[in-house]
Amino acid sequence: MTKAIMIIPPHADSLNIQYLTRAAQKISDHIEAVAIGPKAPSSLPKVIDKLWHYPIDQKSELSTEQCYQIINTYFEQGHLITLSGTFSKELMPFLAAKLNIMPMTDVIAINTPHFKRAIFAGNIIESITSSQERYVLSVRPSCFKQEYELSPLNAHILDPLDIVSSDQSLSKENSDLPDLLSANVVVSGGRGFASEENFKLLHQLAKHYGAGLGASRAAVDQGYIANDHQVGQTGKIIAPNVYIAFGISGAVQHLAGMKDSGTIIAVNTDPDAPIFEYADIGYCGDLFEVINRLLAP
Amino acid sequence: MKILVTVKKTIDYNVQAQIASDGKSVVEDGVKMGFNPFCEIALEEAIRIAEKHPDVEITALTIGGDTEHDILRKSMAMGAHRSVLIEADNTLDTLHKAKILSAYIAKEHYDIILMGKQSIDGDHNHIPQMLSALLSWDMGLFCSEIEIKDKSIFIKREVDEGIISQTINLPCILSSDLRLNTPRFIPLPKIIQAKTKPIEKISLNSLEVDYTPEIERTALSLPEKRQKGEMVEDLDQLIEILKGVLK
Ligand SMILES: Cc1cc2nc3c(=O)[nH]c(=O)nc-3n(C[C@H](O)[C@H](O)[C@H](O)COP(=O)(O)OP(=O)(O)OC[C@H]3O[C@@H](n4cnc5c(N)ncnc54)[C@H](O)[C@@H]3O)c2cc1C
Ligand SMILES: Nc1ncnc2c1ncn2[C@@H]1O[C@H](COP(=O)(O)O)[C@@H](O)[C@H]1O
Repeated sequence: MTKAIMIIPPHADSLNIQYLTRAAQKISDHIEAVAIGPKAPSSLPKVIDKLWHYPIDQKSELSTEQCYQIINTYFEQGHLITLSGTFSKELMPFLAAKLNIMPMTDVIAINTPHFKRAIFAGNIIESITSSQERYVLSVRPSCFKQEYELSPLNAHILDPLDIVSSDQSLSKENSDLPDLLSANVVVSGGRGFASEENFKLLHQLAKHYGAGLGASRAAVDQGYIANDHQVGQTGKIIAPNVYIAFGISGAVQHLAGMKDSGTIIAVNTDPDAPIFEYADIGYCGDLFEVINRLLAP
Repeated sequence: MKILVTVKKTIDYNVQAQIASDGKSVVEDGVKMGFNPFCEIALEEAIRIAEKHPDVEITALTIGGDTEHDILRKSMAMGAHRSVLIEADNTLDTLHKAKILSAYIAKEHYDIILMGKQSIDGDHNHIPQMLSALLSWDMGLFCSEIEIKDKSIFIKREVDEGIISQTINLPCILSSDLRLNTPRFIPLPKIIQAKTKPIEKISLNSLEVDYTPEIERTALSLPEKRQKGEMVEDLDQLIEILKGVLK
């Protein structure tokens, strides 16, 4: 049986790696993992046979071309599978084109050789059948939820290749909040906040309760919050246990990023806001009134 | 400098797509169609570059059939200087389309390929990356800022961890994110003028692309619909619920 090579993205957390393992198990009984980055995980689900690590120093970022060279040099065989996200959006189509394979990305269900993907902002599900010998896949972690017992695993270090690191610099505000992609509870805000100043209330709320902080595109466009908080068709696709939407109307492009959440709670002044059609609990009223009560000592 | 902008025609982003009776395609007859929003942004960016650098020539290109003429005319009405139609099915898979584009670009001379980061119908987000792999050109994906320097380009890109600032060399492939710009409105007279502008047609055969599809779409279906929940009238009750889940 062709083995599955699980590519662990540099910023993936343990829970999402477990979900990725679940997806990898659906394509092969033999799973090996490879981490490209400053650190490799120290423990992984027991079902993983081997862990490879290509160390790079903390500050440098590898380009897609370089990641491709590493994968292509050390892993000439095996299905390649990773998590959805911008890391895999850059790498998988690039890698696949080099290998002359049609990639299947953002996959939500696997029953080899049949796969499912969401298209049209999640309004339609596409079923596809692959006759390829080797799969290049990325999967949505929230669709493969399973937790594993972890066991320590020593990484086999891969020899450095003769590649130069690129001059990319990443700017990110230091965050005092849990990672949006794995947070249990996410509070999210939209244009209803009306100003960057007001949006800080939501940040406070998230910090106070240890929740992840999400936003609509409108909130990011208006400059209330940085782009890496955007949830939706073109932002992050998440499915926390609880998603609380304040002042978000519920456009399909936003729903695409959160409608698989466990419980959806929406606060909006407009009784006809589409978000209420998807909310398990809705409250028609002023978001500031609600947030101030939640922050009150 | 020559810029190629790839444009795709898609169902309007405000329209909810419907599954056709064959169970495998979506209804397009009588449905409002337009630019894939990311392609419109890519074209707008090319036009802004041309406004600053008068030696720039913009070509708009689409892979499609007779029904795609209108999107090319619209591109010229907006500001593209020329347009090219590669005659092939618009629904080919992404690797196939990337090979077609790569074969075409290899025969021409372009400095920058500006593309949308993703098509809002298939939601793939593949072709710019594939094209970079096939042509061995630098790529800059998900751009929210593009600034042309002498022989290089400074870009900002939106990724999951924040914003990456980077300088890349020509020739290159750039893909647009939503915050790159807001496309201009096209006045009616320009649309009318563009009706008579020529469209250069290229047959798929002339590009000699070697490709056999290995992925087949077997069906389309609707996602499970969420049940509408209940509305809470009382603020105190809501606060209690929220405190319960947030704790
Ligand atoms: C190609 C494409 C991709 C897109 N991708 C995304 C994406 O990834 N993510 C995304 O979010 N959007 C995306 N969008 C944009 C999307 O279509 C909507 O424009 C956007 O989601 C609207 O954001 P909003 O709900 O914050 O703003 P609005 O639609 O303006 O809604 C604001 C809401 O706040 C409510 N409100 C106002 N004041 C208060 C108050 N005091 N208390 C409570 N409620 C209040 C209003 O009733 C209203 O419902 C995309 C669009 C396109 C074309
Ligand atoms: N039929 C097409 N003709 C021209 N360009 C296309 C076509 N399909 C996709 N593209 C380009 O490729 C980008 C990414 O598309 P995709 O990989 O399909 O999500 C789009 O934003 C377009 O710029």
